[in-house]
Amino acid sequence: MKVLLIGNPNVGKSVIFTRLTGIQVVASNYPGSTITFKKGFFKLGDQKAEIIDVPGTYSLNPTNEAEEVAVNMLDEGDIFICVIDATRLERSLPLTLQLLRRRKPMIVVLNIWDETQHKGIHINVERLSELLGVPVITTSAVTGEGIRKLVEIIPKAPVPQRQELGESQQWQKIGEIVNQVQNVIHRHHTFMEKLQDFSIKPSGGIITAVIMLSISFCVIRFIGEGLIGSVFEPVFEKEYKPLLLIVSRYLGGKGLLHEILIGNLINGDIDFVQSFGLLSTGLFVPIGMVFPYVLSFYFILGILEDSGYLPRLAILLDHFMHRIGLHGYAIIPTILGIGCNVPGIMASRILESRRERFITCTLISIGIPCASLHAMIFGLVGERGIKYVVVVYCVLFLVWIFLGLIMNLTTRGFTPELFIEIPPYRIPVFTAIIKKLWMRMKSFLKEAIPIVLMGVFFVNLFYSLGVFQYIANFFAPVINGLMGLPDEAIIALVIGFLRKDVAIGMLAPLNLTNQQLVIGCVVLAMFFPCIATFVVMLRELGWKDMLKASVIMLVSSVIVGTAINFFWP
Amino acid sequence: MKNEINLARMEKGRTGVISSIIGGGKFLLKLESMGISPGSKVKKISSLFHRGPIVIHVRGMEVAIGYRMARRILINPNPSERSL
Repeated sequence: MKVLLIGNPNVGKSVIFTRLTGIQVVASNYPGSTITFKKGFFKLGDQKAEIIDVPGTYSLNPTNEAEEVAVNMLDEGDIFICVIDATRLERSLPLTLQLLRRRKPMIVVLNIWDETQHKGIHINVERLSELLGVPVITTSAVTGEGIRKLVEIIPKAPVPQRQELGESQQWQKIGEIVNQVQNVIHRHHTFMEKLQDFSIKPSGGIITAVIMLSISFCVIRFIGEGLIGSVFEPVFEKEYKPLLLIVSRYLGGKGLLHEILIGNLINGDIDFVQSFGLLSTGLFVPIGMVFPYVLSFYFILGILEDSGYLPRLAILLDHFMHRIGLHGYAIIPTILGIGCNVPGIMASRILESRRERFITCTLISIGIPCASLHAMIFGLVGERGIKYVVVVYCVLFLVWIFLGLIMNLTTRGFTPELFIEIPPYRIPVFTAIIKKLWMRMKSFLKEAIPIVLMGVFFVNLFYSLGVFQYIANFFAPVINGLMGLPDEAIIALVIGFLRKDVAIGMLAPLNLTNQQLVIGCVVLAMFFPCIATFVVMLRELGWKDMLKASVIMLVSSVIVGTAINFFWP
Repeated sequence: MKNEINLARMEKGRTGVISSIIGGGKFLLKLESMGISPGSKVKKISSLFHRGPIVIHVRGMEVAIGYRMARRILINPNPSERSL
């Protein structure tokens, strides 16, 4: 048996899904956080039922790809669970009525029920159930209230019998229903609502954005650096290194196996960034350098996502984003891309047109450094002085804008206008934030460590086989001649395709000048995405557009690298 | 319909009823799915500078609409707010 969870965007379908199946999925407070459907199983009496979390849709006439996914799924379902945000009953009913017309067994869930009380909204649940002709259950999925009752009633879901009206009379009909079942008591605006109004006014919006973004940036750095300085470095240096030195001595301090596992000893000691063995650099880079930043970034992102702030930022930036061929909502995939380009590119599905998605994805993969690159920029470049860090970020930001301007003029198709529902501010639930963080951290470690280890292994192997000399010779005219980077840096750039953080350990021992380091970082960020991003981009854009994007990446990185080389003051 | 005005030009804070929407099939459906259709009561909450998006309150939710779209939505403003 297949049960479908269907509803408008941002009504809590994913949270109900998690409650029923125990499978953790990322949920946030903005429309469109679920972009593909997720399947799971739950126990229904003594049998197992399949449940599908369908991406949110406002109607059964889809306007973007995520909604199309939703509509195409409907025929497969045996039972519909129509999830409604109880605080926004009126806007949810069109979809409910459309679903009723499909004449499949159905249950209506009024989620976010706890908030109706704070907002002075009274809904006559029994009357609503009578009018719709199907059972209505109230839940607060975040706390788990009402979920058990829902499970009990699923097998008893009736097929709606009522004669429905045509589409044209829909809103009239909805007006009648709302009048009969809902009673809103007027009261003064709460602090949250005042804040809500403030942050979409032009002046208030700018103030809010500046405050929110600077606080986020400072907290991310504070937590990230704090974790590295007080937890990860001490553990690696004081606890792990002595163990590794014993292994090193046992292996005799040199030889192929030593080279692969421990790497080169620098002045008789292990240097976690430069030694470049599987057990030294291979573990230190993903865990000791990148992980702390990933952790602090996703912690803050989780809070921003659940608070409902991001769509407001999208509205504020809409006008500016139109200049680079996008509308404001493209800022959400872009911000996700700051942690890792992969989820950023997947999230581009919330955008309607192909053109927007192409521009967004290309800009993310070129101009938005991921956590690995941030770690590298702060770790390596930061040692040379904060002003070089600023240079790297400014260059990337300018590239992002200029490429956007150019692509806006040259890419065919159109960018539709912004048209989104704004969610209310909610105070993020701490346990939900931690759960989401935990999921993201698990997948980071699971994906990052094996690829970094593989990268380190192949680098060592290729070094001893002399493969790199060929590659270096081949690219030397461009990298050496135009960008002024030494031959060894070429290999770091090539390996950057596997994962950007592997390249950290490869650039570190080269004794690059400040200028070369800045060029190296900028080019590494721009010239090509890592393999995971590449695969996702290929899937999302298709061969033709991916080829176009690749050409843009290569050409722009060569131009920018060369420009910095020749115009360095 | 003497006082009809488009949403982009309506003053902030005013309420009114949508009288008509200029446009065809898909455009109308898209608006309709978010509860924006002739007869809907709307309140304009804010508009952003430089022809940025316009935020309105409609059918119990807040919606942001692009400027050019908003120009195609015609409103009959509530006459009792004339004094504004």
